[in-house]
Amino acid sequence: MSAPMEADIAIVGAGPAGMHAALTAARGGARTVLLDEYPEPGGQYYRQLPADFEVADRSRLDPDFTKGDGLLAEVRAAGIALLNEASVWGSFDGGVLEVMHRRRALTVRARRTIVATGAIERPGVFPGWDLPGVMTPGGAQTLVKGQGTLPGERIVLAGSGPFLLPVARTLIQAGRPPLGVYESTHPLDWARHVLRLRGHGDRIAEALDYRRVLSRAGVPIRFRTVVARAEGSGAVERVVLMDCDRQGRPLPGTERLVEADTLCVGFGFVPSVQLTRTLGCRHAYDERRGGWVPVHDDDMQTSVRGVFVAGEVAGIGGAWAAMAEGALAASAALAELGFEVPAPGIEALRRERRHRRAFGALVNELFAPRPGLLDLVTDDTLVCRCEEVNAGAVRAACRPWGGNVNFIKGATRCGMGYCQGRICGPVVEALLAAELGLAPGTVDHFHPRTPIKPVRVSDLASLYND
Amino acid sequence: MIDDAIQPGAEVTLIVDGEPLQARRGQTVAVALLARGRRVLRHTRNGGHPRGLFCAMGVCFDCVMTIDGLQGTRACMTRVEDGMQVSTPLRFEGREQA
Amino acid sequence: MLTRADVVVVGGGVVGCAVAYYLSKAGARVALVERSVVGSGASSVNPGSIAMATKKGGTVLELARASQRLHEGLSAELGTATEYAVEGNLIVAESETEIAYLEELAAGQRAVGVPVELVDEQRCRELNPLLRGRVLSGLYCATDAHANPFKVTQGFADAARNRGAQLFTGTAVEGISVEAGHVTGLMTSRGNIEAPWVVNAAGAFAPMIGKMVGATHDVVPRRGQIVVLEATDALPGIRVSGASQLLAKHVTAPADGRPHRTPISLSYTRKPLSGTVLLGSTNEFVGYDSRNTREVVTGICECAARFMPELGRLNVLRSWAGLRPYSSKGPLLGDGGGPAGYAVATGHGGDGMALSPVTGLYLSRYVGRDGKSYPVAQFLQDLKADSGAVQ
Repeated sequence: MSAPMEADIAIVGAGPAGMHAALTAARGGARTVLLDEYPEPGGQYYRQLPADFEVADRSRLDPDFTKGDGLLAEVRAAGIALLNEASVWGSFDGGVLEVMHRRRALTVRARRTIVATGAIERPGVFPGWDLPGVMTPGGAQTLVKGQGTLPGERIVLAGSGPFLLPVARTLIQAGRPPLGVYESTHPLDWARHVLRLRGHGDRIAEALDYRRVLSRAGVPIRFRTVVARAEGSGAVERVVLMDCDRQGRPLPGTERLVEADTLCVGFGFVPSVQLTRTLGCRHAYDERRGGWVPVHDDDMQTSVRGVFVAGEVAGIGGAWAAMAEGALAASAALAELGFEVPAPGIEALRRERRHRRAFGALVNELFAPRPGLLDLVTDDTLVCRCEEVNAGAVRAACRPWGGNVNFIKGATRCGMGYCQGRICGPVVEALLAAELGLAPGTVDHFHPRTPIKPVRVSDLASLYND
Repeated sequence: MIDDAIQPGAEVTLIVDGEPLQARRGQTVAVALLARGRRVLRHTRNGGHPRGLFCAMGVCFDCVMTIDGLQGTRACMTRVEDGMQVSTPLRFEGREQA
Repeated sequence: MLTRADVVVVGGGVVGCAVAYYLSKAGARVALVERSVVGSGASSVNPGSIAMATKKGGTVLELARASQRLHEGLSAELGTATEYAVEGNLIVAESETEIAYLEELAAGQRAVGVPVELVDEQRCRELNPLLRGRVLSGLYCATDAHANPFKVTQGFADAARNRGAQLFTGTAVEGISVEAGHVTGLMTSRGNIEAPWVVNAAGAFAPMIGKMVGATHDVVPRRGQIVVLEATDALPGIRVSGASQLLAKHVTAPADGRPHRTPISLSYTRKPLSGTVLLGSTNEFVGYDSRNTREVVTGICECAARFMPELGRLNVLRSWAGLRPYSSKGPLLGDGGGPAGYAVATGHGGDGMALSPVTGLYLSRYVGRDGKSYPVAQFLQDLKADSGAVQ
C-alpha cells in the first residue's frame, strides 16, 4: 500500500462544524486534515463562489456570499491540510479513511476522526416531483450562492421549516423573489411551545429579520398549504397547491393553480450518516433530531472509539449548534491525545452546545413531517428517482414478514441506484411503517454499502497492487 | 449574473451532443446548460422521462450525464473545461415490466 | 405456545422458503421461523446464477439440472415473476492446467446430457466481446441461466403463506424439544411451536441449530464478496468467469493456514432487467465475518479491468458480502443425524438459489415418507418418471 497520509485528527466535511473542528484542532497543535467533497470549502451554510469567478468588490456583495470569509481565511492560515474535491468512499480498517481526491486514491490514517458530513434535504414527494424544474430549496440556494445563477423565472417555495426563509431571502437578494412561500404547518401549532423560546433571542431576531425582508419584497407566506402536484410537459409549468389540516392532510376542493417554472419543496433535513454507518457507529432513531443519528457521548464521541461526530450528522440542529460541536469534538479529541485544549474549553463548549441543541430540538418538533403528507404519495407517484420505482410497487412489497426496508429494497430495487437510497430511504421507511401500522424507526434503514459514493472501477483497481 | 460585482471565469467551449456551447470557467456543466435554457439533462432508462437538476449539490445523482466518455457523471459537480465532451443519451433501453 | 404445526422450518432464506412452500403444497401445516426477515442472509447477496457449466458431474449436477427445470416453470408455479432468463455461461481458461480442468468438467457434464461445448479463444471473444485479457479457450453452456434471487425467495415465501404456512420473522430459535428420541417442537424467542418435524435450513448457521440436538453438520461459512456496477446499455448478457476460481472452489477445502492473498478471478454477470453488472464472487473461509474487505473489493475491480478494460470506465455502486454454507460433501439433504423428526437442508455452498426448488421438493417428499430412507438418486429417478407421466 502506498504511504497513507498520517494525521492526528482527520475531519470529514468543511461546513460550519468541520471548519470549527479543524481550527480548534490546529490551534491545539494537532496535525489536522480537513477533507471536503466540493471544490471550495464552506458547506451549504458558507457556500462559496468558484475560485475561477472574479469579484470586483466583496464588500458590495450580499452577506450571504461573504459571511464565511473570516472563518475561511483563518482555516487557510492555520496550517491545516485542506483537501477539496476529496470524497471518502470507504473505511475497512478501524478509522482509516479511503479517499478519492480528484480521482487519485488516498488513504488517510488519523488517530482521531471527526465526521462532520452534514445533512441531506428531505424533499417533498408528490406526483410530478421528478419533472425538471422541481428542486430542493437547498439546490436553488446552491445555484445562487455557489454559481451566481438563478434557478428559474417564476419560483414557488414550499414545504416546511425555517430553512425556507433564508432560501427566500437569498432569492430576493438575487433579484428574483419567489411567488410565495407555502408552509405546511401553522403558527398556531407552535403557540404552546412559546416558553421554550426563552434564551434564544438571537435566533428569533434572525427569523423576524427574514420575515421583514420577505414582506418588504412583497413575498406572501401562506400556512397550512401543500404542493399537491407539479404539472407540465417536459418540465414544470404549473403547480397545484392545496390547503391542508394540522396533520398535513390535503383538504379536498381547495386546489389552486400557480404558473411556475421552478418549484422548490423541502421538509427540513435528515442527518447524512452514510460514513458513520460505514465506520460501524451505532445509530438510533430520534425524530427530534431528524431521524437516524449516531449515538454519541457528551463530548461527541460515537460508539466507535476515536470516531467523533459534529453538526447536522449528529442530529439536525442548525449552524450554531454545528459550530459549537465542531469545536467541542476537536477539543475532546485534543484532550485524549494529550494536546492542550484551546479556549473556550470543553465545559464552555458543552454548555453552548446544549443551549443551541435545545433550540434545534424545538424546531425539529415544530416542523416534524406530518403523517398526512403521505396522502400526497399516490400509488403512481415516484419514490425512487434512480430506479424509477413508484409508491404502488413499494406498498405492494410491504409484507408483515418483511417489516424491514431492506426487504423492500430487494423486492423493488428502491435504493439500488446511483444515490444509494439517500433520497428515497426516509420515504420508504415512512411508507413501510405507515403500511404496517408501525412507528417510524422500527423498520430498519438501508444497510450501508461501500463505496459510500460511486467510484470508477479503474480507480478502485489502481488500489489493488499498491 | 445576479450581481454586477460577480464575473464568471474565462470563456470556454463545451461540445454538447456534438454542438459547441459557450460556458464560463467555474461554472458547472449543469449551470452552463441551464444558462442556455436547457433544463433537461437526461432521460431515464426505463420510462424515458426527462430529468434535470434536483439537489444541485451532488447527493441525488439525478443530473448524471456522460462527460468525457464517463457515463454516470454528475453535471452539478463537474466544472466545465475547454473542449469537454458532454452527451445526453436520449436513447433508453425499454425494460420489459413483467 | 406460539402455534402447532406438522413441520417447522428453521431459516427464511431461499432454501427454507422453498422447503416451506413444497411442504405446504404437499398438504403439511408449516411454520417457518426466521430471526431477521425473509431473504436477509446469503439469499440476497448472490448473483442468482443457475449454472451447469460450473459443476462437476455427479449427483450435484443432476440435482442442478432437475432444479433448472423447476426454475423454468417457477414464475407460473408461484404466481410471481422470478426474472428467469437464459443468458449462457462461458468459463475461460488462462493456462494449460485450466484447459485440462475444463476438458474434465465438460466430460462429466456431457455424460449427464448437459449441452456444453469447448470453444477456442476466438469464439470466446465473439461470445463476449468485452474480453480482452489473456484467454486460451473456454467451456460454453448456452442454456445456463439466472434469476432474481430476491424474487425467488419472496415468491416461495408468498406462495407458502398462500397455502397456509405461517411465517414468524424476527424470531430467534432457542432450542429444539425432543422426547423419547423424537422431535416434539421448537422453542423460540416468541414462544414454543409444537411439531413432530424440524427442518434445519439455517444456511451457514445450520451447525448452531444442529448443536441443539447434538447433531454435527459438515458446514462452514464461506464468504463471497460481490461488486455491483452501474446500469449500462448494450453490454453482453452472457456470464463469464475464470476457470481459476472453479479450480480453487472445487479443489480447496478450508485450509488451516489462510492464503496470503484471497484468490480472485474474473466473474461477470449482467442482469438483463436492471442492466447492472455484478462482479465476483470470492470463496473465503474467514469464519462468520460478513464484511467486505479492501483487498477483495479493489481486487475484483482490478481483475475486471484487466480482462474487460471497458468496464474500467463504469461506476461501482456497491459491494456485498454473503456467508454461504459450504460443505465438503455437497448439499446435505434429509437425514440430519439427530433425533427422529430432525432433517437438514443446507450445505449448498454458492448454489442455494439454483438448488432451492429441487431441495424444497426433495424435503417435502422425505418428510412425507416420514423420514424413511430416500436416496437422492431414487428421488431423481422418481422426478424423471413424474415428468414422463406428465408428458
